[in-house]
Amino acid sequence: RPSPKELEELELLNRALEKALKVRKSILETPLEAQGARGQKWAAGKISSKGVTSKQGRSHRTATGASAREVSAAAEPQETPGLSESTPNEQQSFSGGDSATVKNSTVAGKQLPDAGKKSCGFLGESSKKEDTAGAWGRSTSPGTGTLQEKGCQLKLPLPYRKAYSRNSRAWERCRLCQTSADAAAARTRFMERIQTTVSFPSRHRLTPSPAEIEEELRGLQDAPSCLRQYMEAEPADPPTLQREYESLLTLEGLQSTMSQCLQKLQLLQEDCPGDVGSCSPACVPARGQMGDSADMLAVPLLCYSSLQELRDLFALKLRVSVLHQEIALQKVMMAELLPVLEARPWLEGSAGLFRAIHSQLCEGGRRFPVLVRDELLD
Amino acid sequence: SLDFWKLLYVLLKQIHGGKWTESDAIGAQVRFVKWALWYHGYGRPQLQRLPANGSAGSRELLLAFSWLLHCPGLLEQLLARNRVQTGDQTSVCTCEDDLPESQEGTSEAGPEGRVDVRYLQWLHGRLRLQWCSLHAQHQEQSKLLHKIHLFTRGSHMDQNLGHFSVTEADLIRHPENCKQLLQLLESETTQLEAFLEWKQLEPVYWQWMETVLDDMAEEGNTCESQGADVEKRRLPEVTSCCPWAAKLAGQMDRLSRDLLALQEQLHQLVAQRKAAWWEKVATREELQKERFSATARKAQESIELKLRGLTSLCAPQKTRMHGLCRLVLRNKQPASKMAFGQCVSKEAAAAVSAAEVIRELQLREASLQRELQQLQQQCRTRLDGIAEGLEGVICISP
Repeated sequence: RPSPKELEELELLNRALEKALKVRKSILETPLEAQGARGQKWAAGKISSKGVTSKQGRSHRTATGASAREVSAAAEPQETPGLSESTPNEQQSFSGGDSATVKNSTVAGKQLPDAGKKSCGFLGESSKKEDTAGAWGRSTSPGTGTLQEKGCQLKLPLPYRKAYSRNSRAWERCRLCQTSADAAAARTRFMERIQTTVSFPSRHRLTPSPAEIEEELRGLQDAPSCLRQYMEAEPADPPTLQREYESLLTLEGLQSTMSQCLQKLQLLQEDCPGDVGSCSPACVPARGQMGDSADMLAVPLLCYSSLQELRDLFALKLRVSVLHQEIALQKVMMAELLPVLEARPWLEGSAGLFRAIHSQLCEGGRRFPVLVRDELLD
Repeated sequence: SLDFWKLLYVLLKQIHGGKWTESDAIGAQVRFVKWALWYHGYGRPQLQRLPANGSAGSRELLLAFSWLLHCPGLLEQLLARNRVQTGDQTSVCTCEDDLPESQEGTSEAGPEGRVDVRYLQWLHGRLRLQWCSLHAQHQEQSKLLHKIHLFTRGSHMDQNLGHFSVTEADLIRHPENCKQLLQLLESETTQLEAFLEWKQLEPVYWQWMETVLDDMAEEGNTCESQGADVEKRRLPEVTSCCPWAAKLAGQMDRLSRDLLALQEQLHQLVAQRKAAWWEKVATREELQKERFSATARKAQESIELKLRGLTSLCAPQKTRMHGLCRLVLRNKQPASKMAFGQCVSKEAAAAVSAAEVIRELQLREASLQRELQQLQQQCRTRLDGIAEGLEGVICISP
């Protein structure tokens, strides 16, 4: 059992750290500790759960864990890892105070004064100092290394491995499982009969459903950008005759693709369903994958090959999302703000309003027009 | 039938947007189900005529349910959507995010119902700040993900994946937290086994459905000739009542305008180039000789190759991925040496490369950027018009 004095020290240090740092713990971080995690039933965890009160009332945080994260967060205010896609709430205590040993706490007791200086550089992140975060709570082997060193030797817990294998085998079986021929035939007959009870005499049978129309439209939406990209890639003044010929061919090819696209769009517009029976304000299109049902049963892998690719990916996704939002905002603002200016007579003080609205609507709020008094020298 | 309506509502909501509450009014539920069925191509007018309080129509709903089993693949979609996530998931879909249904009439108006434009500016500024900080967080997240993926390579029992995800890495640290995840996995496995059983029984089900249709036919329940009755309202007329249809129509219009404008540009460019080319042909001997035809053919082949990527624009869409993908770090190796360890699957899982996704995103970004600029230009024009009506003031745009 750790001595009362050590516990006191622990508590005082924690409180000081928390006060000094004042970091909001809304972001998760998962500093990893290398293997031997099972041996890390941290005795002080139980005790500190009474002593340390976290801001969010999560009283199970261990002293070391908390201070580690908070130190690192303070050291690098920019680095707020947003691992929000992982399962929530990893901040559980090192539960169980039963396997504590005195060694545990003394090791920790000595490490703690250093805690303030060391960031949670477990992942080799940010700080240049040696990581000792992994050493905390370790009973026997000091400095068993960082994730970097030991990562490739880690093993997932056995129950998980078993469950995972069973689960992925089941998924695979489902994916490969075919509809039997009888079933498929009966199903087709059923679907056809349903279709025939719906008589749209002027239409041929295979009209796409609204879902399919939407999906096809989505595919076409990138056409202008794509075509434009190709178009702009053609040099204005090709150096050789051959190049010139190729350039011409390319442009003609683009032309034919273009007319195909327009044709397709036209067909879609014609196919557009006439009879919207009922409408619900909650009409949100389905984002499922249309097409082969069995394909839905596999989680596709998104393979990236470098950190830069991953960063670009995230950045672009955000950019697209932001653009969607900006466009939506723009439309709303146009609907609300333009009438304001168009309706009222120009009052003396309206210059400011005009400038503000102009900047919001035309420059995304970033730049302002200049209004100059038009005074002719008489 | 009330229960059946509710069941369909809940199931369809999971595919369509996901949020529902117990207390949703039955009228709204019925409307939604009707709309969703229409969306998926279920055309029977009898369904649309069912009463809005959900009191009747269980047989019709049965037919609709069977339709859904096949048409959007209801079961498969539900399984896919509710899948337990063990990996680092991200979506590659470029579609617009669903905005949460907000209440109308936010209450920021001042005492006389007027809003200060400076408040708007401030809000906009705050929003931009949030976007920036989100960007920073994403970048941080990607750094950490990369590290975890990189350092745990070789440890995962599924060699297809090769490395741990954040969730899995955390299991190492807290193996006692495994329990919840295990429970989820186990229950999902049970569901999958139930799905397999269903597949076995499928023939029986469809045969039964046919008998249902037979019964209905006997009762003379087939729909009366619709011909003159149902007027096909074209989309433009419908848009006023359905926001989805309005949005779709708007997208189509915009797309058509973009394409036509681009086509115009392209026409001019091609005409120009053609004229220049034929001039050259007339003046240069070597182009008229046979030798050039070989070069011409090679050029044609190479251009066809180059433009092959474009054919996908017009071809019927391959299934675009809207769902989640698991992020996996993998070296760019043409010959993937997959040693299949404990996993049963002998086929490599479908894989998309980040480079492809990035390219698509760039296209989408460009197209959205253009749309935004068009809107801004519209505003500029209108505001310039207003400015001209102002006496004694000249507006100089930045």
